[in-house]
Amino acid sequence: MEEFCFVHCADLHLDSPFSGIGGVSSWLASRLREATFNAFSRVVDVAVENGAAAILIAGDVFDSEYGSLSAQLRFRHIVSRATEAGIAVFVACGNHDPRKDWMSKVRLPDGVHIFATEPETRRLVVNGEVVATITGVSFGRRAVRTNLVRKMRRPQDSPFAVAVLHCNVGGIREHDNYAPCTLEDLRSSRFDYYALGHIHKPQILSERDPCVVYSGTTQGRAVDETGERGCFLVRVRSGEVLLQFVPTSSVVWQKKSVAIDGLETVDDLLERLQDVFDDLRKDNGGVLLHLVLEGSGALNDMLRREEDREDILEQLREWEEGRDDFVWTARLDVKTRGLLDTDELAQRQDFVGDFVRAAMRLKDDPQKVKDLLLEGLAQRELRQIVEQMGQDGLREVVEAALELGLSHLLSEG
Amino acid sequence: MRIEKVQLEAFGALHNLMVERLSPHLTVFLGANESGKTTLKEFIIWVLFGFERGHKGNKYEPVVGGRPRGRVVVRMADGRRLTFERVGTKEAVFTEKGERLDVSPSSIMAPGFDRHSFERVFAVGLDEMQGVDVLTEEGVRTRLFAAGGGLGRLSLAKLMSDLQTAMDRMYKRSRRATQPKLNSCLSKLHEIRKRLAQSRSLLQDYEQVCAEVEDIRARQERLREERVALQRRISRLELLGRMRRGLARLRQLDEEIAKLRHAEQLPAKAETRFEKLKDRIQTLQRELDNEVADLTAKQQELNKLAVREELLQQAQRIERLRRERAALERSLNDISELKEEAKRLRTELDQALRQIGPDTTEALLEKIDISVVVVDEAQRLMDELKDAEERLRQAQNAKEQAEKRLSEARSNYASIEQELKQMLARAPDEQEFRRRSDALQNLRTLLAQRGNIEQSLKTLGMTEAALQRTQPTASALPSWLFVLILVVGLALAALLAGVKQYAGAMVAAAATISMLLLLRKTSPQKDALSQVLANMESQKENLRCRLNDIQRQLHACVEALQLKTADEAELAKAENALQQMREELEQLRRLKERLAAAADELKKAEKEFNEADKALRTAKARQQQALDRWRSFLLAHHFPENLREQGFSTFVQIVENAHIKKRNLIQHEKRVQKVQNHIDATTGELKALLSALGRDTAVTDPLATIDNLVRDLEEAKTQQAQREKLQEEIARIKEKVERLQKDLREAGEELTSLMKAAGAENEDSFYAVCRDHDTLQSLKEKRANLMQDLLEDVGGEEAFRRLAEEVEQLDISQQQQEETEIRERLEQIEQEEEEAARRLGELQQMMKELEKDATGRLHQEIAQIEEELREGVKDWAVYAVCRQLLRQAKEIYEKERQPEVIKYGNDFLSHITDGRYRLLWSVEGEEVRLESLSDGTYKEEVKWSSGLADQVYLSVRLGLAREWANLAEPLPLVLDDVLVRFDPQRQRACARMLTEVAKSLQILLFTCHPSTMEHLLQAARDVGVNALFYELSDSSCVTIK
Repeated sequence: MEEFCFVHCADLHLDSPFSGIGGVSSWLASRLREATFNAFSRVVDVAVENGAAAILIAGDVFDSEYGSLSAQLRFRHIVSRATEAGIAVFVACGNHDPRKDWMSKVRLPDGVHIFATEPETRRLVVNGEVVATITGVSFGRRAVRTNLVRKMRRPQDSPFAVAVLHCNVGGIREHDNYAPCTLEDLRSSRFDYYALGHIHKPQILSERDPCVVYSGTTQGRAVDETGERGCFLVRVRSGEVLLQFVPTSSVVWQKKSVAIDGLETVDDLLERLQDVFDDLRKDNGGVLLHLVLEGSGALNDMLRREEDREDILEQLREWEEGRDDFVWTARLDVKTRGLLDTDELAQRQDFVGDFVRAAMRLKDDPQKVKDLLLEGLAQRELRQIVEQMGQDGLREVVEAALELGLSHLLSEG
Repeated sequence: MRIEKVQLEAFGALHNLMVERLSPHLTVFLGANESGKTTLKEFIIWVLFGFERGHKGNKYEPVVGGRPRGRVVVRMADGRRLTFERVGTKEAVFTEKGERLDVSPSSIMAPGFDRHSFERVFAVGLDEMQGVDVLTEEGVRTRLFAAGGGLGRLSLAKLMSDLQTAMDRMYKRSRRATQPKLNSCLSKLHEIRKRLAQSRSLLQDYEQVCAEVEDIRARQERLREERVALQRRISRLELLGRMRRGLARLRQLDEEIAKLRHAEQLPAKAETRFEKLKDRIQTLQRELDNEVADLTAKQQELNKLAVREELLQQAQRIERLRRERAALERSLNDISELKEEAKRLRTELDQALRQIGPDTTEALLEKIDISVVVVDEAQRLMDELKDAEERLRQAQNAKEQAEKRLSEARSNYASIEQELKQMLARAPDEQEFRRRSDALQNLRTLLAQRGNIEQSLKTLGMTEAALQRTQPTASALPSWLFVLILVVGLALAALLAGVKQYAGAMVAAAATISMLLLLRKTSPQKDALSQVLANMESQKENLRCRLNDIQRQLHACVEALQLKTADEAELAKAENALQQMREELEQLRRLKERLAAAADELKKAEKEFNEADKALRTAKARQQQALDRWRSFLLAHHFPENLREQGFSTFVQIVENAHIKKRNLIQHEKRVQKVQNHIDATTGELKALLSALGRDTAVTDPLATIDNLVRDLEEAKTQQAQREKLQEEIARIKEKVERLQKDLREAGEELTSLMKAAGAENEDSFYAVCRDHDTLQSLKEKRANLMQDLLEDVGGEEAFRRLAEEVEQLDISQQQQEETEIRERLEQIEQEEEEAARRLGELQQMMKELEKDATGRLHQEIAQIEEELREGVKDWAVYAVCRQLLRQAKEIYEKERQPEVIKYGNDFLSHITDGRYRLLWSVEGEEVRLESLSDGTYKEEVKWSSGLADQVYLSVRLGLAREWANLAEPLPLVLDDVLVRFDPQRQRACARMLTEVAKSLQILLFTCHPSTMEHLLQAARDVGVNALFYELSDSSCVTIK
C-alpha cells in the first residue's frame, strides 16, 4: 500500500467570537477576528507542506447560530488553496454547522466533499491507487441524540478505513452530549482511524486498533481553552499510524497565578508581572492571559479597590498594545488575602469579629448570596450572570467582599 | 493625672491667686458672678493646653501688665509630680527636682489630643455640652469612641456610603439609567443585538441575490446569441449592397481604359525623366567650361615656383642641430662658472690639509685612518685611560679623607682620657654609697612601723576604756557589742598584718574569735567582757615589746648614717647627700663608656688610612699602562703623537672634512670636462654641415649659425609644400573635365531614346502623350483597388462569382425592408442587455456589501461586553455583599456590642434618671438614641426636655471621660454649673453620681449656686470622698469647707 498522510482537524468555529476577554482595543479585536481564519489557513499550510492527500474536518466549521456569511465565504477561499494543490477535503458537519445550514449558493471548490446526514464513503486515491476510504456522516440538525457510530460500517475492500464524525465519546460532561457513543462502539465499527470532532481539547482516546483521536479546536476562543490548539498530521505507512500534533493557534490562552507575598508596592508587583509576561511571551503569536493574583500581602488592600485594580490592568495592557508577541491580560482575578488571618479575626469580640463571622456564615449559604444579588438586579442579562455564577463563584464573591471590608476596617484602624 | 496646685501669677483680671491644695477627687469652686470663676477655669485649661491656634477671643491679657503667666502642679498616673508652666506663648514642663523636660504639657497628658477636643469632653459648661455630635468629632471618635468597638478610625457610615456610591457608579436598577458601567454595557449590548437582528436575514438575502445573478447571466447569454445571429444577417445584406455598387463601377472603369490604349507603351514617369535630362545637360556644360579655365591658371602658377633642394637634403642634420641648440647654449653659459668653482674647491682642500698639519699632503691624508673600527678602538682606549685617571683621583681623595679622620680620632681619644683622669680623682666610693642608701631606707621603714604600733596602742586603750565604761550594764549586753568586738579585733589584725607583724595579727584575730566564742558559750555576758579586756591587755604588752625592738634598730641606723637624731630634717639632709653621690657616680660611668668608644674609633681610622694608601699606588700603575697603550695606537694609525682624548674627536672631524673637500673637488673637475666636451662636439657637427651646404665653415657664433640654417630650411619646406599642392589640384581638375564630357554624352543619348519611345517628333507632342499615359494608369489603379476591396469583402473569387450571380437576381426593395426590421430588433436587444448589466452591477454591489458581513465583529463585541458585564456584576456583587455583611455586623454590634462610652454613659444616665431610660448608639447613623425602658420606644433628640438633654449630654461626657481613663492618662473633668437645669431630685442624684465618678477621676466643679455646693457636700460625705470647697471673691480663693 502506498504511504500517505492526511490532516485531521475539527471545530474551526470560523468567525466565532472569543469569550472571556475584557478591555479589547480595536487593534486586538482585529487580531482576534482573524485568529480562527488564520488557524484554518495554517491547517491548509500543514497539508500542503507535507503533501497530504486529504484534509478531514470533523464538524463545526462555523457557528451557524452567529449567521456569519464571512465564515462560509472565507472557508471557501481558504479551502480552495488545498484543492488547487490536489488535496481532497472531507467535511462532516457538527452540531454548530448542521448540513442544512451550509449555503447552497456558496459553491465550494471541486474536491471538497460534505458528507450527507447518512453515512457515505469516498475513496482516497494517491498516484492512481486507492489508499484509503473515508466514511463520514453529518449532523442534519443541531441536536443529534442518536448514536451515529452504529450506523457506520467499515467498507469491505478498504485498505485503510477512516471514519469522520462529530460526536461525544463516553459522554464527556463539559460538552453537550450530541451523537453519544462509547469507545466500544467505535471498536466494534472496525475502522482504522476515527477522526473526531466536538471536544475542543486535543486528545488521543486510543492509539491503535483503532486509532481514536479528537484533534481539538484549531484556535482556542474561551478562557478555559488554555494551551496550544491545532490539528493532527496523520501518516499511514503499511497500515501503521503515526500521529503528529501541529499547533495552529495564532493566539494562545494561558492561565497564570502570581503570588503577592512579600511585595510591598505596585512597582514591585508590576516588576514581577513583567517577568511573568516575558516568560509567557511567544515568538510567533500572542497570548491571552487569565491572570490570577493570589497569596497574602500588603498589596491586598490596594488590589481590593476597583479603581486601583483597573489602573494596574490598564498598565498591563498598555505594555502590550500593538505588539505582535503580545501577552494580553484578558481576565484578572484577585484572590489575594490580607496579612491577618481571618480565622483569628473571627475570634475578635468587636465589630471586625462580627463582620468576619457574618461573612463566614454567608459563605456557607450561597443561595442566600444569590437571592441577595438577584434582589438588587433588575435586568435579565445581569440576573442571568448571577444565576450562572455557581456555588463556587458565589463563595468567591463573599470572600472578595470579606477582603474588601477588612481592607477598610483594618487599614483605617 | 490630677492637679494638685494652681499658681496663677497673672491672667486677665486675676493675679497672684494660689490654690495650694486641690482634692484628688472633687474640688468645688463657689463664687458669685464676676468673681473670677471662669477666669480661673480658663487659666487651668490654658496652662494645660494653651489657646487654640488662631484664637481670636479673650486672650486674658493681665490687668497688672506683662504676659499671662502661671503654673499648675500635677501628679501623673505613674506617680511623677510635674509642674506645667506657661508664660505667654512659651510653655515648659519641670520635674519635682526642677529639671526642665523637653516636652509640652499636652504631649505628656494626651498626645494628639488638642484643646478643642479636651474642651468638648473634659471642660464643659452648659453651652459647650449641648448635643452629642461630640461623638462624631474626628479627634474624639478616633481616640475614644470607636476604638473600643474595633472600628478604629473608620466611619462605618462613610464606608457604607462609599460602598453605595461605588455600587451606584456600577449599576442602577432603573432601565433608563445609562451612566453606570453596567447600564452602559447593557445599552451597548442591546444596540449591537438590534444591529445583529437587522442582519439576521443576511444568508437568505445573499442566496436570493446569488439566484438573481444567475438568472440575469442566463438572460444575458440568450440576448447575446440572438444579437449575434441578427448581426450576421445584416452583415450579409450589407455585403450584397456593396457588391451591387462595386460591379457597376467596374464596368464604367473598363470603358474609360479602352479609350486610352495608345499611351500604354510609354515608360513610367517619362515626362519627369525628360525634364530632368534637359536640366542636367545644361548644368554639365556650365561646369565643364569653369574647370577648363581653372586648369590653365594652375599650370601657370606651378611654372613660376623655385625650391632650394640642398637644404631639404640636409634637413635631418639641421633638425638635430636645432634640438641641440638649447643644450649648447647652457654649456656655453655654464663652462666659465664651473671653472671658477673648481678653483674655489681646490683652495678649501688646501686649507683643510693645513688644519691637519702644516706638512700634510693629500697622500698623507689618505694614510690617516678614521674608519669606524679605528675610531671605536680609540674610544675604547680613551675610556680606559679616562677610567684609570678617575680611579687615581678617587684614590687620592680617599687617602686624604682617611688621613683627616685618623687625626681627629687621635685628638678625641686624648681629650676624653684627660677628662676621665680628672673625674676619677674626685668621685665617691660606690660601696659607701650603697651602705648609706640601705641604712636610710631601713630607717624610714622603722619609723613607719613605730607610728603604726603607737596608733594601735592608742586604739586599744580607747576600746578598753569604753568596755570598762559599759561593764556595769553588761548583764544585758546588746548585740551591737558583739559586732563591735568583731570589728575592732579584725581591724587590729589587719593593722598588724599591714606592718608585717603577722604573728601579732594572728594573735589579734585568734583573740577576737576566742572572745566571741567565749561570749557565746558563757551565757553571762559579763564574763565574756572580762575575758575580752584581758586579751586586749595581752595584746598591748606584745605591742610594747615590739616598739622597744624598733627603737633599738632605729638607733643603730642613726649611727650608721652619722645623724644627730632620727627626725625629718636630718633625714632630708641625708637624702640630699645621697642624691649628690648618685649623680657623680653616674657621670663617671658615662665617661668610661665614651673613652671605650673613642678607642674603637681610633683603631678603625688607622685601618682605613692604610687601605687608602695601598689603593692609591695601584691606581697610579694602572693609569700609566693606559697612557702607554694610547700612545702606541696614535703612532700606528698616523695620528699626531701629542693627540689626547680631549682633541681626538675634533681631529677625526677635521680629517673627515678634508676627505669631503677632496671628493667634492674631484667630482667638480669631472663635470667641467664633460661640459667642454659637449661644446666641442656640437661645434664640429656644425662645421661639417656648413661644408656640406657649400657655405663658409668659419664659425664665430655657433648659436647664430644654427638659427640661420633652421630659418632657411623652414623657407625651403614651405615652397616644396606649395608645389605639391598645385600639382595635386591640376590632376584633380583634369579628371573632372573628363568625367563631365562623358556625362554630357550619355544625357544626350537618353533624351533621344525617350522621344523615340513616345513616338514624338518634338517636345510638345511628347508632352501630350505623357498626359494620356498618366490618365490610363490612374484608371487601372482604381479598378484594381475596387476589385481588391470586393474580393476581400466577399471572401475570395469563388464567393465573388456566386455573389455577382446573386446580385443579378436580387430584389432591392425587399432587401431594404428586411434590413430595417433587423436593425430595430438589434436596438431592442441592446437596451435589454444594458438593463441586465445594470441590474447585475447592482446585485454584485449588493453581494459585496453582504460579503462585508460585520456579524463576526458584532458577535465579538457582544462577547466582550458580556465579559465586561460578568466582571462588572462580580465587582458589584462584591460591593453589595460587603455592604450586606457590614449591615449584619452593625446589627449585631448595635444589639450586642454597644461602645464602651455609651455603656458608661448609659450607667450614668440610668443612675440619674433612676433607670427610666437606656442610652443606645446606632453605628450606621452615628447617632445616640434614647430608649424609654418603660414602653420600649425610642425618644428622638428633638423630643428631649432641656433637663433630660443635659442629663444625656453629661452622661455621654462622663462616659467619654471614663473611657479615656481606660485608654490613656486620665484627665481632670472641669465642669461649669452643669446641674442648674436639673430638678432638685436629679441634682442630688447627679451630685451623688459625680462624687462616685470622682473616686476615679478628678473633678473640678465651678458653680455660683450654693445649693449645688450643698448637694455635692452631702454627696461627698455620703459616698466618703475627700472633697475640697473654695470660695472665690475679690480675686482671692478661700477654703470654705
